[in-house]
Amino acid sequence: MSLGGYAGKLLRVNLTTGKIWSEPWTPEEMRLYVGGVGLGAKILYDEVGPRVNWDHRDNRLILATGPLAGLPVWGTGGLTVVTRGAMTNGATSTQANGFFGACLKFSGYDAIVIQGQAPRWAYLYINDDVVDLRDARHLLGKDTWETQDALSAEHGLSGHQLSVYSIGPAGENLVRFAAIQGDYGHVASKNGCGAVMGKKRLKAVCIVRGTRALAAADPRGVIQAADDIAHDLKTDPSARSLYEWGTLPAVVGLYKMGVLPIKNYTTNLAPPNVNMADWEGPKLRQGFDHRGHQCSACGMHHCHMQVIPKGKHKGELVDEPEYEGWSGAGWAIGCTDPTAVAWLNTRIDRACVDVNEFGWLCGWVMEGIEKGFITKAQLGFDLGWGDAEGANRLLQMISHRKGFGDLLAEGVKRAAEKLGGAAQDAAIYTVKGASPRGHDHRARWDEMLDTCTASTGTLESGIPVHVTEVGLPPRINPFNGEEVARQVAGILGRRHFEDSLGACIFTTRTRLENMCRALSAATGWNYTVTESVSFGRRTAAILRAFNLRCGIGPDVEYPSKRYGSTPTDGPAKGQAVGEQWEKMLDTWYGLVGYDRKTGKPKPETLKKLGLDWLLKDLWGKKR
Amino acid sequence: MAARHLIIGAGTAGLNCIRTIREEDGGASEITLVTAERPYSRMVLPYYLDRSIAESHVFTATAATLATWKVKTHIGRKAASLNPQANALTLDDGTTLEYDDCLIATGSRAVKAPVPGADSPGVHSFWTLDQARAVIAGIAPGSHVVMVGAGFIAFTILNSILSLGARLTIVEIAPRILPRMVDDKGAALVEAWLKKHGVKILTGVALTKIDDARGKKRLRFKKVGDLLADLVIMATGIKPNLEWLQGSGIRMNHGILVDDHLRSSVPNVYAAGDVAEGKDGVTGAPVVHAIEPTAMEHGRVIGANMAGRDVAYRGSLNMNIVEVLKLDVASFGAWDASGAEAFTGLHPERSAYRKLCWSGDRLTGAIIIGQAGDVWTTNDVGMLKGLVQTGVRLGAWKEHLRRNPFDVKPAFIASRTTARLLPETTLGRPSRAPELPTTVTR
Amino acid sequence: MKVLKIVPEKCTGCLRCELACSYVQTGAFQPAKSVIRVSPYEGHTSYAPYTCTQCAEGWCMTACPVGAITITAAGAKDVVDDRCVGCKLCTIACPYGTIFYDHDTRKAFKCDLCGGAPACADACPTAAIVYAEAETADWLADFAVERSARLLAIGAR
Repeated sequence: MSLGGYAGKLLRVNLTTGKIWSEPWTPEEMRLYVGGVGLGAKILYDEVGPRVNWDHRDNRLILATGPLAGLPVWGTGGLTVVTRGAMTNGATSTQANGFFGACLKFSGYDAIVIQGQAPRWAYLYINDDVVDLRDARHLLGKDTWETQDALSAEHGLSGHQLSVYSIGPAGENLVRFAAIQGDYGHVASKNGCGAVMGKKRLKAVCIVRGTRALAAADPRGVIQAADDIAHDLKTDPSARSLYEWGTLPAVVGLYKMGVLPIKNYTTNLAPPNVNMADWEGPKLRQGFDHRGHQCSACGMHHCHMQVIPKGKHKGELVDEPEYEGWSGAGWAIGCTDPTAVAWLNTRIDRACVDVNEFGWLCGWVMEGIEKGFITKAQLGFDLGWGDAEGANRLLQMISHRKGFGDLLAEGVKRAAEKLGGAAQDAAIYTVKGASPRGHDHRARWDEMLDTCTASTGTLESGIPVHVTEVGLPPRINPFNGEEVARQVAGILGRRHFEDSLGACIFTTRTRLENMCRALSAATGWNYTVTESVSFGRRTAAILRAFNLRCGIGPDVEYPSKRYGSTPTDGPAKGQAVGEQWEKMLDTWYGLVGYDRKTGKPKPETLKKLGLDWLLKDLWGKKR
Repeated sequence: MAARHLIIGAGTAGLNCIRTIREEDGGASEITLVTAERPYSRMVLPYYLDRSIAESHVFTATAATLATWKVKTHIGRKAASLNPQANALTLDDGTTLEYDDCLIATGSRAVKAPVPGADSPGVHSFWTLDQARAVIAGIAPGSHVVMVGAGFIAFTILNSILSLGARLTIVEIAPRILPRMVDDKGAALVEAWLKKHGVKILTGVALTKIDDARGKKRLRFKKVGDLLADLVIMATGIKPNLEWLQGSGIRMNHGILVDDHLRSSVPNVYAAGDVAEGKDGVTGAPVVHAIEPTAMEHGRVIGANMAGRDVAYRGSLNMNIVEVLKLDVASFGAWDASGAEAFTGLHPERSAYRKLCWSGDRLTGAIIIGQAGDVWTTNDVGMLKGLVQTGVRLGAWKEHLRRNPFDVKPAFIASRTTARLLPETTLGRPSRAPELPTTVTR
Repeated sequence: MKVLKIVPEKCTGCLRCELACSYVQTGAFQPAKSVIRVSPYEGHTSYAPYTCTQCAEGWCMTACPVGAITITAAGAKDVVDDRCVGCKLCTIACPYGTIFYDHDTRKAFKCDLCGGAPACADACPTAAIVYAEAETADWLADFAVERSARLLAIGAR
């Protein structure tokens, strides 16, 4: 009898040999590593050595879910992808939702650990005990939605009877910021996890909704905790608009703070012909044929499908853009026509690249054409600000590595470094290689600091909600580097805890205490907030140790020139993060207990986190 | 109207008829029941065979129930002859019973293959309760059971035989199994499944003789070698019990011919169940289904009519379902109509098969095979029945089902099948819950 | 009589009803054992739950050879477990496809309206399932027609 909340087994797949097996994991391991990124980090550290680069066949692609997946807690279809990613060539933790986690758990597995490289393109098929690798050559070239359509038809299963996570052409062609997309609109997008999947010649993972039972130690307790979490989400000011409108209100909300990135960070002001009132959350849903498209057990009015109401693409079904879509496929590239953004955003999901990186890249190309550091001749066509059709043309060039698209497929950092000069100065990236989220972090220093210091290819500190629970002040001055660093350090690892549960970043926007209660009811543990905090920090330390072993240290924890520049207009005009950066790092390092010089978690930090086994690797004599 | 109703046979048809009369008239009329055996359900005998239910569970009406229903009973008696002119039935003990109207529901009996030794001890049929008792007494763990015949009846007891720990060999004279339940493709899938699970199957073999060999039965065949069995079960067909009606003047073909109210050629004599040749729900043609659901519908419609209501019989749907070793096999309607347009879908690795048969854009028959655990596929079974039963026009959905014969749900719902079904009742009123017989222990 | 009224436009396909239903049925979370099933329309863009209408005919009930299906005080057709032998006749008699066979328990199972407090309606976060006094109806057809026109048109191409 497995522990409640867990299926109890990990599914192992060796693509090189075709061997497939499952292995149990113990209740002790479950408590230590929980699931998702916690579990993935440990496997990554144990099995992927420093010479196993992202494109090495021995790299692991870990598709993990967690103990709450498949339970009635809102938004618990969670998938966390852990691998050595193509953007940083370091650790990766990136999430998507949909039904992956629920389907996997009902099939009897908590995670899939994929290694090797398939001799020819394959997809992984899971139907309870029947697990095999099948020929995927007929799926090549299909985008992610077409792939899911084809597999649905092939297996005679529809809707959520099948969960398919796949790569599109971008992944097949090893675009460095390729993503993994599933269930029509859910994307694990960060750090080039789709390129890893492409390198492994794995086109898709296709899970028939499992038929097994998932027990909870205290099922009534799980339902009760789920109700309490739902109550927080519906009523707490930090979550309520999310509940009602998903991330749509963020467009205007962040604009007011100077956090909405506009035209590759060249301004923070909307063009005069745009009325920001038209970008209010409710307005963005008006005029579209709207259909809720929620993840497993979710009550948020967040994920939606919509039908393009007018124009060239009238009638096309698209996934309603998330905030990141409005930003990456919209404002960041100067596109302020909601219909065009909605259309382009889904093209991006279907080709399957990270929408943030695409925004930074496309915006940079557009600025380049405008300023002349990229020529029309180089690009092969003219691409002006806001041109969604042109952006799609660029997307297709990148996805198929055609012409200039081949260089762009390396991501904006590498492309900009290649071109140098003004081109390099204009590009938004972290020196480490991670793509920032779709914000103007020059007015959101906490996320800039997190993006630069995190070992995941994206963030690891979490959204600062209910921070008083962990002893932090309820509000900070966002332009006081010291306060920002204290906050980021103070919630280090919260995201890892969320991303280990099999839940969603938005439905975990409740008190940790509630999440711990749900976890305890599922498993029968007495899991405390203190334990969740130290779990998050433990996971962060393991990922950091992994990255250090890969040669990724404090020397790359910096924003690019444009990314770390000072806004010249808008609400954050003149706020210079660059001036406070070193001080922020000093404070952060001190508080998280890492060595400022080497970046290593200090011995006492490791001991406190129960990571004595890492001591020798990090601090022991060189062998 | 205090009529005298005479019910001959206490199987599914007879008991449903009695229950319906009482639902309608509350006990006002006189009901007499003639039955050779205590009322029980043949449908559940396989579950008695593997001892998942007690013998008492098979009985469908106890003496107490019949008394509550105010039914006069002649249990253990057989009908010997019918005199429709005199409205009288003579029993095998010479008793004569008069009636105002009468139901013939004498059912059918198992017939064995006409080979020497078929009637010797150790060669069983599995049809009646007594025969079930004999088979139970004859099977022990490790016994080798040879099943002669691979039709529906044989398949209903495969699970039970195997769960008793017996080894099983099936021999069938036809070139394939389940000839009257699924098509060739479906049969091949089921056969492969059974073989994979250790059941030996020999098709296209003609049994010539059964003799005794040192306490075992030796089965001899035309072309293949002998088989030695501890126990032989012959599931080689059934035959309606109609002989006693010779000379009664009741018109018969394969069964008693009935009109749209299930009346025979003699208006106050009804026929139901395995002896009735009633209207098929899909084709409208007269047919003997010899299946439980048809007997039930016959019985209920007749009961209402006997009670004085005018309830027309719309015809029943031929349908069967059997599960063998967690593989569900079901078929509906005109699944084998020759020349009918048909779509098929096959997922061999899941042992999943679909066949959809069409007349224009209406579904007229279907076969569905799938692993019981493959719930997302096998649960469409009822919807397929609904589509065949209503004959709803599927329009553009037909093409969708050609591409994906497994995606039945949206077709069913968007074709407004539910709206068609909701007002449908067999008796023109909501059905009532059956009175549950008190379980008897002997 | 109170019935499960389905408001398909409100369904988002989160399948929480199936979790709740299976929990009531089995004590664990196992959508395969749910008797309310959410199915997709227009490929994957629209969803609606579907369950027993507690129809007037009660095809399952009349088909049962051992009288194992009865009508509860809440008006639901309900399987009496210790009478049911698991012959599956009800599963092919029901033309709606809303009674199922559980090969673990070897019994038929169906919606019994949770004795008058349906868990699916409680669990639905968008009130797409409402337990209300109403005449039962074909709740889904109009929605399904609208939400499949595109699919059929694409197929016809």
